[in-house]
Amino acid sequence: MSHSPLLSQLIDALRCLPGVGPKSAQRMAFHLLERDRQGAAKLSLVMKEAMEHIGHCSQCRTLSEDELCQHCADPAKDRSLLCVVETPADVMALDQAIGFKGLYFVLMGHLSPLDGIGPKELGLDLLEARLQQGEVKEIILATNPTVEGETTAHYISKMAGEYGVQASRLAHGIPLGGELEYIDGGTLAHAFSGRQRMG
Amino acid sequence: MRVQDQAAFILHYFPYRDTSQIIELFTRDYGRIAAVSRGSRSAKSKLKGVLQPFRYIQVSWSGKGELVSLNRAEESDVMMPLLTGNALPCGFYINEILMRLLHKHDVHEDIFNEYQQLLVSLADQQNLEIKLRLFEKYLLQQLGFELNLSHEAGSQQALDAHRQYFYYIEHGPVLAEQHTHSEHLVISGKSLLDFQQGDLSDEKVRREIKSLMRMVVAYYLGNKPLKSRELFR
Repeated sequence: MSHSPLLSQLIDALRCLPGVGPKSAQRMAFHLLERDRQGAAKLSLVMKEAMEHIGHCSQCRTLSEDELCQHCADPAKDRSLLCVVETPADVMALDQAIGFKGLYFVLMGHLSPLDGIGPKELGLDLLEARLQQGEVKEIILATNPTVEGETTAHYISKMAGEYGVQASRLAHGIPLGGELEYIDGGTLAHAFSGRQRMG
Repeated sequence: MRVQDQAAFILHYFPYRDTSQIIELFTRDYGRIAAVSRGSRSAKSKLKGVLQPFRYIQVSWSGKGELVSLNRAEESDVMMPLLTGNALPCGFYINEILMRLLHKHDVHEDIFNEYQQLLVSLADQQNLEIKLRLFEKYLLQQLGFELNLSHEAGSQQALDAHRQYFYYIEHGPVLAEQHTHSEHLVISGKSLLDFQQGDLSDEKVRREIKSLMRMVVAYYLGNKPLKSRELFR
Protein backbone atom coordinates (compact mmCIF):
# COMPACT_ATOMS: atom_id res chain seq x y z
CA MET A 1 0.00 0.00 0.00
CA SER A 2 1.35 3.42 -0.85
CA HIS A 3 0.56 6.67 0.94
CA SER A 4 -0.34 9.98 -0.62
CA PRO A 5 2.77 11.91 -1.72
CA LEU A 6 2.68 14.43 1.15
CA LEU A 7 2.15 11.71 3.75
CA SER A 8 5.05 9.72 2.32
CA GLN A 9 7.19 12.83 2.54
CA LEU A 10 6.26 13.32 6.19
CA ILE A 11 7.07 9.71 7.04
CA ASP A 12 10.35 9.99 5.21
CA ALA A 13 11.24 13.23 6.97
CA LEU A 14 10.55 11.75 10.42
CA ARG A 15 13.11 9.03 9.75
CA CYS A 16 15.92 11.51 10.23
CA LEU A 17 15.36 11.18 13.99
CA PRO A 18 17.66 8.74 15.79
CA GLY A 19 16.16 5.30 16.42
CA VAL A 20 13.25 5.88 14.05
CA GLY A 21 12.77 3.36 11.28
CA PRO A 22 10.02 3.20 8.64
CA LYS A 23 7.47 1.62 10.95
CA SER A 24 7.87 4.05 13.84
CA ALA A 25 7.95 6.98 11.42
CA GLN A 26 4.61 5.86 10.04
CA ARG A 27 3.17 5.55 13.55
CA MET A 28 4.36 9.03 14.43
CA ALA A 29 2.92 10.52 11.26
CA PHE A 30 -0.49 8.92 11.87
CA HIS A 31 -0.49 9.91 15.50
CA LEU A 32 0.23 13.55 14.67
CA LEU A 33 -2.34 13.70 11.89
CA GLU A 34 -5.11 11.85 13.70
CA ARG A 35 -4.68 12.84 17.32
CA ASP A 36 -2.44 15.80 17.81
CA ARG A 37 -2.51 18.33 15.02
CA GLN A 38 -1.99 21.17 17.46
CA GLY A 39 1.15 19.58 18.88
CA ALA A 40 2.42 18.91 15.39
CA ALA A 41 1.87 22.52 14.33
CA LYS A 42 3.81 23.68 17.37
CA LEU A 43 6.57 21.18 16.67
CA SER A 44 6.96 22.35 13.10
CA LEU A 45 7.05 25.99 14.17
CA VAL A 46 9.60 25.50 16.94
CA MET A 47 11.65 23.18 14.75
CA LYS A 48 11.88 25.82 12.05
CA GLU A 49 12.79 28.55 14.54
CA ALA A 50 15.42 26.37 16.20
CA MET A 51 17.02 25.30 12.95
CA GLU A 52 17.25 28.88 11.77
CA HIS A 53 18.47 30.52 14.93
CA ILE A 54 20.45 28.06 17.03
CA GLY A 55 24.14 28.32 16.30
CA HIS A 56 27.25 27.98 18.42
CA CYS A 57 28.28 30.09 21.37
CA SER A 58 31.23 32.22 20.29
CA GLN A 59 33.13 31.42 23.46
CA CYS A 60 32.48 27.79 24.34
CA ARG A 61 31.06 26.42 21.06
CA THR A 62 28.00 24.86 22.69
CA LEU A 63 24.60 25.15 21.00
CA SER A 64 23.00 28.53 21.62
CA GLU A 65 20.75 31.01 19.82
CA ASP A 66 22.60 33.94 21.35
CA GLU A 67 26.11 35.13 20.65
CA LEU A 68 27.04 33.98 24.19
CA CYS A 69 25.34 30.98 25.78
CA GLN A 70 23.70 31.25 29.21
CA HIS A 71 26.72 29.75 30.93
CA CYS A 72 29.26 32.07 29.38
CA ALA A 73 27.03 35.13 29.89
CA ASP A 74 26.44 34.37 33.60
CA PRO A 75 28.51 36.83 35.69
CA ALA A 76 28.32 34.55 38.75
CA LYS A 77 30.49 31.84 37.11
CA ASP A 78 34.11 31.38 38.08
CA ARG A 79 36.04 32.35 34.97
CA SER A 80 39.31 30.85 36.12
CA LEU A 81 37.91 27.30 35.88
CA LEU A 82 37.31 25.74 32.49
CA CYS A 83 35.84 22.29 31.94
CA VAL A 84 36.38 20.73 28.50
CA VAL A 85 33.73 18.27 27.31
CA GLU A 86 32.95 16.54 24.02
CA THR A 87 29.25 17.36 23.52
CA PRO A 88 26.49 19.72 24.74
CA ALA A 89 24.84 16.64 26.31
CA ASP A 90 27.94 16.25 28.52
CA VAL A 91 27.46 19.82 29.75
CA MET A 92 23.92 18.91 30.84
CA ALA A 93 25.06 15.72 32.53
CA LEU A 94 27.83 17.43 34.49
CA ASP A 95 25.67 20.40 35.38
CA GLN A 96 22.95 18.21 36.84
CA ALA A 97 25.36 15.94 38.68
CA ILE A 98 27.81 18.35 40.28
CA GLY A 99 26.59 21.92 39.80
CA PHE A 100 29.95 23.02 38.40
CA LYS A 101 30.77 26.68 39.14
CA GLY A 102 33.17 27.32 36.27
CA LEU A 103 32.73 27.63 32.52
CA TYR A 104 32.62 24.94 29.86
CA PHE A 105 34.27 24.47 26.52
CA VAL A 106 32.48 22.11 24.14
CA LEU A 107 34.63 20.40 21.51
CA MET A 108 31.72 18.95 19.52
CA GLY A 109 33.65 15.71 19.12
CA HIS A 110 37.09 14.32 19.84
CA LEU A 111 40.39 13.96 18.01
CA SER A 112 40.03 11.20 15.46
CA PRO A 113 42.67 11.52 12.77
CA LEU A 114 41.42 8.61 10.70
CA ASP A 115 38.08 10.40 10.36
CA GLY A 116 39.89 13.58 9.39
CA ILE A 117 39.26 15.29 12.74
CA GLY A 118 42.35 17.09 13.97
CA PRO A 119 42.90 19.90 16.49
CA LYS A 120 41.62 22.56 14.10
CA GLU A 121 38.30 20.82 13.46
CA LEU A 122 37.63 20.82 17.21
CA GLY A 123 38.17 24.55 17.56
CA LEU A 124 41.29 24.03 19.64
CA ASP A 125 42.74 27.21 18.15
CA LEU A 126 39.87 29.01 19.88
CA LEU A 127 40.70 27.27 23.13
CA GLU A 128 44.37 28.11 22.72
CA ALA A 129 43.56 31.80 22.22
CA ARG A 130 41.56 31.65 25.42
CA LEU A 131 44.38 30.06 27.40
CA GLN A 132 46.68 32.72 26.01
CA GLN A 133 44.50 35.48 27.50
CA GLY A 134 45.46 34.22 30.94
CA GLU A 135 42.02 34.32 32.55
CA VAL A 136 41.84 30.54 32.89
CA LYS A 137 43.86 29.12 35.79
CA GLU A 138 42.73 25.50 35.78
CA ILE A 139 41.41 23.34 32.99
CA ILE A 140 39.41 20.20 33.76
CA LEU A 141 39.50 17.60 31.00
CA ALA A 142 36.18 15.80 30.98
CA THR A 143 36.45 14.05 27.63
CA ASN A 144 35.15 10.48 27.42
CA PRO A 145 37.33 7.60 28.70
CA THR A 146 37.84 6.24 25.18
CA VAL A 147 41.17 6.11 23.38
CA GLU A 148 40.15 9.19 21.36
CA GLY A 149 38.94 11.06 24.44
CA GLU A 150 42.20 10.24 26.19
CA THR A 151 44.22 11.45 23.21
CA THR A 152 42.21 14.67 23.10
CA ALA A 153 42.77 15.24 26.83
CA HIS A 154 46.49 14.60 26.43
CA TYR A 155 46.76 17.07 23.57
CA ILE A 156 44.92 19.80 25.49
CA SER A 157 46.93 19.16 28.65
CA LYS A 158 50.15 19.77 26.70
CA MET A 159 48.68 22.96 25.30
CA ALA A 160 47.69 24.06 28.80
CA GLY A 161 51.21 23.32 30.02
CA GLU A 162 52.64 25.69 27.42
CA TYR A 163 50.59 28.53 28.88
CA GLY A 164 51.20 27.61 32.49
CA VAL A 165 47.60 26.52 33.04
CA GLN A 166 47.08 23.63 35.41
CA ALA A 167 45.25 20.70 33.80
CA SER A 168 43.43 17.85 35.52
CA ARG A 169 41.63 14.82 34.14
CA LEU A 170 38.46 13.19 35.42
CA ALA A 171 39.34 10.06 37.35
CA HIS A 172 38.09 6.78 35.95
CA GLY A 173 37.48 3.55 37.70
CA ILE A 174 34.92 1.17 39.02
CA PRO A 175 31.30 2.35 38.78
CA LEU A 176 29.37 2.92 42.00
CA GLY A 177 27.91 -0.37 43.20
CA GLY A 178 30.03 -2.33 40.71
CA GLU A 179 31.68 -5.69 41.24
CA LEU A 180 35.31 -6.26 40.31
CA GLU A 181 34.62 -9.68 38.86
CA TYR A 182 32.47 -8.26 36.07
CA ILE A 183 34.53 -5.22 35.17
CA ASP A 184 36.53 -5.21 31.95
CA GLY A 185 40.31 -5.36 32.16
CA GLY A 186 40.91 -1.87 30.80
CA THR A 187 38.74 -0.17 33.41
CA LEU A 188 40.27 -2.28 36.15
CA ALA A 189 43.79 -1.40 35.01
CA HIS A 190 42.92 2.32 35.04
CA ALA A 191 41.29 2.05 38.45
CA PHE A 192 44.28 0.19 39.82
CA SER A 193 46.90 2.61 38.50
CA GLY A 194 44.81 5.58 39.67
CA ARG A 195 44.25 4.22 43.19
CA GLN A 196 44.06 6.69 46.05
CA ARG A 197 45.75 6.72 49.41
CA MET A 198 43.48 6.03 52.34
CA GLY A 199 43.71 7.42 55.83
CA MET B 1 32.35 -18.56 6.44
CA ARG B 2 32.71 -18.63 10.23
CA VAL B 3 35.87 -17.67 12.04
CA GLN B 4 36.25 -18.29 15.75
CA ASP B 5 38.45 -16.51 18.28
CA GLN B 6 40.79 -14.77 15.91
CA ALA B 7 43.47 -12.53 17.42
CA ALA B 8 42.92 -8.95 16.27
CA PHE B 9 43.54 -5.25 16.83
CA ILE B 10 41.14 -2.46 15.97
CA LEU B 11 42.68 0.01 13.55
CA HIS B 12 39.65 2.21 13.15
CA TYR B 13 35.93 2.30 13.84
CA PHE B 14 33.03 4.56 13.07
CA PRO B 15 29.33 4.68 13.98
CA TYR B 16 26.83 2.84 11.84
CA ARG B 17 23.08 3.33 12.22
CA ASP B 18 21.89 4.10 15.76
CA THR B 19 23.69 1.60 17.92
CA SER B 20 26.10 -0.25 15.63
CA GLN B 21 29.64 0.27 14.46
CA ILE B 22 31.76 -0.59 11.48
CA ILE B 23 35.08 -1.87 12.76
CA GLU B 24 38.29 -2.07 10.77
CA LEU B 25 40.24 -4.99 12.20
CA PHE B 26 43.80 -6.13 11.69
CA THR B 27 43.62 -9.87 12.32
CA ARG B 28 46.50 -12.28 12.63
CA ASP B 29 45.43 -14.94 10.12
CA TYR B 30 43.06 -13.03 7.83
CA GLY B 31 44.73 -9.65 7.47
CA ARG B 32 42.68 -6.50 7.45
CA ILE B 33 38.92 -6.96 7.46
CA ALA B 34 35.90 -4.74 8.04
CA ALA B 35 33.13 -6.00 10.30
CA VAL B 36 29.81 -4.64 11.42
CA SER B 37 29.27 -4.92 15.15
CA ARG B 38 25.57 -4.71 15.92
CA GLY B 39 24.40 -3.00 19.07
CA SER B 40 27.87 -2.28 20.42
CA ARG B 41 27.15 1.43 20.77
CA SER B 42 23.97 0.95 22.79
CA ALA B 43 23.95 2.15 26.39
CA LYS B 44 23.94 -1.40 27.75
CA SER B 45 26.62 -2.87 25.52
CA LYS B 46 29.39 -4.67 27.37
CA LEU B 47 31.67 -4.37 24.37
CA LYS B 48 32.48 -0.70 24.77
CA GLY B 49 35.62 -1.26 26.80
CA VAL B 50 36.68 -4.16 24.59
CA LEU B 51 36.20 -2.59 21.18
CA GLN B 52 38.89 0.06 21.53
CA PRO B 53 42.00 0.63 19.44
CA PHE B 54 45.32 -0.76 20.76
CA ARG B 55 43.63 -3.53 22.77
CA TYR B 56 44.50 -7.11 21.94
CA ILE B 57 41.16 -8.80 21.36
CA GLN B 58 39.75 -12.08 20.12
CA VAL B 59 36.93 -11.85 17.63
CA SER B 60 34.53 -14.27 15.97
CA TRP B 61 32.70 -13.38 12.80
CA SER B 62 30.58 -14.84 10.04
CA GLY B 63 30.02 -13.92 6.43
CA LYS B 64 32.40 -13.14 3.62
CA GLY B 65 33.14 -10.35 1.23
CA GLU B 66 33.70 -6.71 2.04
CA LEU B 67 31.78 -6.55 5.32
CA VAL B 68 31.48 -9.46 7.72
CA SER B 69 29.30 -9.69 10.84
CA LEU B 70 31.01 -9.60 14.18
CA ASN B 71 29.47 -12.22 16.46
CA ARG B 72 31.68 -12.00 19.49
CA ALA B 73 34.59 -10.02 20.82
CA GLU B 74 36.47 -10.37 24.04
CA GLU B 75 39.74 -9.34 25.51
CA SER B 76 42.62 -11.70 24.86
CA ASP B 77 44.51 -13.32 27.72
CA VAL B 78 47.69 -11.71 26.46
CA MET B 79 48.57 -8.84 28.78
CA MET B 80 48.84 -5.55 26.94
CA PRO B 81 49.80 -2.34 28.74
CA LEU B 82 47.51 0.66 28.25
CA LEU B 83 48.77 3.36 25.95
CA THR B 84 48.79 6.75 27.63
CA GLY B 85 50.19 10.22 27.10
CA ASN B 86 52.63 10.65 24.23
CA ALA B 87 52.21 7.02 23.15
CA LEU B 88 48.64 7.71 22.00
CA PRO B 89 49.40 9.95 19.00
CA CYS B 90 52.06 7.39 17.97
CA GLY B 91 49.47 4.63 18.05
CA PHE B 92 47.07 6.59 15.87
CA TYR B 93 49.90 7.46 13.50
CA ILE B 94 50.77 3.80 12.98
CA ASN B 95 47.11 2.83 12.68
CA GLU B 96 46.62 5.41 9.97
CA ILE B 97 49.64 4.10 8.06
CA LEU B 98 48.46 0.49 8.39
CA MET B 99 44.95 1.41 7.27
CA ARG B 100 46.38 2.97 4.14
CA LEU B 101 49.18 0.55 3.30
CA LEU B 102 47.63 -2.84 4.10
CA HIS B 103 45.23 -4.18 1.51
CA LYS B 104 42.10 -5.88 2.74
CA HIS B 105 42.42 -9.67 3.13
CA ASP B 106 46.21 -9.70 2.60
CA VAL B 107 47.58 -11.86 5.40
CA HIS B 108 50.57 -10.41 7.26
CA GLU B 109 51.17 -12.48 10.34
CA ASP B 110 54.69 -11.09 10.83
CA ILE B 111 53.51 -7.50 10.67
CA PHE B 112 50.73 -8.37 13.11
CA ASN B 113 53.23 -9.73 15.63
CA GLU B 114 55.58 -6.80 15.13
CA TYR B 115 52.65 -4.39 15.61
CA GLN B 116 51.78 -6.08 18.88
CA GLN B 117 55.40 -5.75 20.03
CA LEU B 118 55.40 -2.11 19.00
CA LEU B 119 52.28 -1.34 21.06
CA VAL B 120 53.83 -3.02 24.09
CA SER B 121 57.03 -1.05 23.69
CA LEU B 122 55.30 2.30 23.02
CA ALA B 123 53.55 2.08 26.39
CA ASP B 124 56.62 3.18 28.35
CA GLN B 125 56.67 6.45 26.33
CA GLN B 126 60.46 6.24 25.88
CA ASN B 127 62.28 6.75 22.56
CA LEU B 128 59.00 6.86 20.67
CA GLU B 129 60.50 8.36 17.55
CA ILE B 130 63.06 5.57 17.21
CA LYS B 131 60.42 2.89 17.64
CA LEU B 132 58.21 4.48 14.98
CA ARG B 133 61.09 4.75 12.46
CA LEU B 134 62.14 1.12 12.96
CA PHE B 135 58.56 -0.07 12.59
CA GLU B 136 58.13 1.94 9.39
CA LYS B 137 61.32 0.41 8.02
CA TYR B 138 60.15 -3.08 8.93
CA LEU B 139 56.70 -2.46 7.47
CA LEU B 140 58.05 -1.25 4.12
CA GLN B 141 60.40 -4.21 3.95
CA GLN B 142 57.57 -6.69 4.61
CA LEU B 143 55.39 -5.06 1.98
CA GLY B 144 58.13 -5.40 -0.63
CA PHE B 145 59.33 -1.78 -0.56
CA GLU B 146 62.61 -2.43 1.21
CA LEU B 147 64.90 0.56 1.39
CA ASN B 148 68.38 0.37 -0.03
CA LEU B 149 70.55 1.54 2.85
CA SER B 150 73.86 -0.14 2.12
CA HIS B 151 74.88 0.35 -1.50
CA GLU B 152 74.85 3.07 -4.10
CA ALA B 153 71.94 2.79 -6.51
CA GLY B 154 72.92 1.09 -9.72
CA SER B 155 76.29 -0.15 -8.46
CA GLN B 156 77.50 -2.44 -5.75
CA GLN B 157 79.65 0.31 -4.28
CA ALA B 158 79.25 0.24 -0.49
CA LEU B 159 78.15 3.52 1.12
CA ASP B 160 80.78 5.74 2.68
CA ALA B 161 79.82 7.06 6.11
CA HIS B 162 81.65 10.32 5.44
CA ARG B 163 79.99 11.24 2.18
CA GLN B 164 76.65 12.82 1.31
CA TYR B 165 73.99 11.12 -0.80
CA PHE B 166 70.76 11.92 -2.57
CA TYR B 167 68.08 9.36 -1.88
CA TYR B 168 66.02 8.24 -4.85
CA ILE B 169 62.88 6.35 -3.85
CA GLU B 170 62.80 2.80 -5.23
CA HIS B 171 66.46 3.10 -6.28
CA GLY B 172 68.53 4.23 -3.37
CA PRO B 173 71.33 6.60 -2.53
CA VAL B 174 73.42 8.32 -5.18
CA LEU B 175 76.56 10.32 -4.40
CA ALA B 176 75.52 13.94 -4.02
CA GLU B 177 78.57 15.34 -5.80
CA GLN B 178 77.71 13.60 -9.07
CA HIS B 179 74.17 14.90 -9.33
CA THR B 180 73.11 18.45 -8.77
CA HIS B 181 69.41 17.97 -8.33
CA SER B 182 68.68 20.52 -5.64
CA GLU B 183 65.16 19.34 -4.81
CA HIS B 184 66.39 15.99 -3.61
CA LEU B 185 66.92 15.09 -0.01
CA VAL B 186 70.58 15.09 0.99
CA ILE B 187 71.47 12.52 3.60
CA SER B 188 74.77 11.39 5.04
CA GLY B 189 76.18 7.92 4.48
CA LYS B 190 76.47 7.54 8.23
CA SER B 191 72.72 8.07 8.72
CA LEU B 192 71.87 5.47 6.09
CA LEU B 193 74.32 2.92 7.45
CA ASP B 194 73.24 3.48 11.05
CA PHE B 195 69.59 3.07 10.08
CA GLN B 196 70.47 -0.12 8.24
CA GLN B 197 71.83 -1.42 11.56
CA GLY B 198 68.76 -0.18 13.41
CA ASP B 199 70.87 2.30 15.36
CA LEU B 200 69.19 5.68 15.79
CA SER B 201 70.97 6.81 18.93
CA ASP B 202 72.63 9.81 17.22
CA GLU B 203 70.40 12.87 17.10
CA LYS B 204 71.59 14.07 13.68
CA VAL B 205 70.99 10.60 12.26
CA ARG B 206 67.49 10.62 13.72
CA ARG B 207 66.71 13.97 12.13
CA GLU B 208 67.92 12.90 8.70
CA ILE B 209 66.14 9.56 8.86
CA LYS B 210 62.95 11.30 9.90
CA SER B 211 63.05 13.40 6.71
CA LEU B 212 63.90 10.33 4.66
CA MET B 213 61.04 8.26 6.06
CA ARG B 214 58.62 11.14 5.77
CA MET B 215 59.40 11.35 2.06
CA VAL B 216 59.31 7.59 1.51
CA VAL B 217 56.10 6.98 3.46
CA ALA B 218 54.42 9.91 1.68
CA TYR B 219 55.43 8.38 -1.65
CA TYR B 220 53.67 5.09 -0.90
CA LEU B 221 50.64 6.70 0.72
CA GLY B 222 49.84 8.98 -2.19
CA ASN B 223 48.75 12.59 -2.07
CA LYS B 224 46.64 12.72 1.07
CA PRO B 225 48.82 13.72 4.04
CA LEU B 226 48.70 11.82 7.32
CA LYS B 227 46.17 13.49 9.61
CA SER B 228 47.63 11.93 12.75
CA ARG B 229 50.74 14.11 12.43
CA GLU B 230 48.62 17.00 13.70
CA LEU B 231 48.25 15.20 17.03
CA PHE B 232 51.95 15.55 17.88
CA ARG B 233 52.46 18.65 19.96
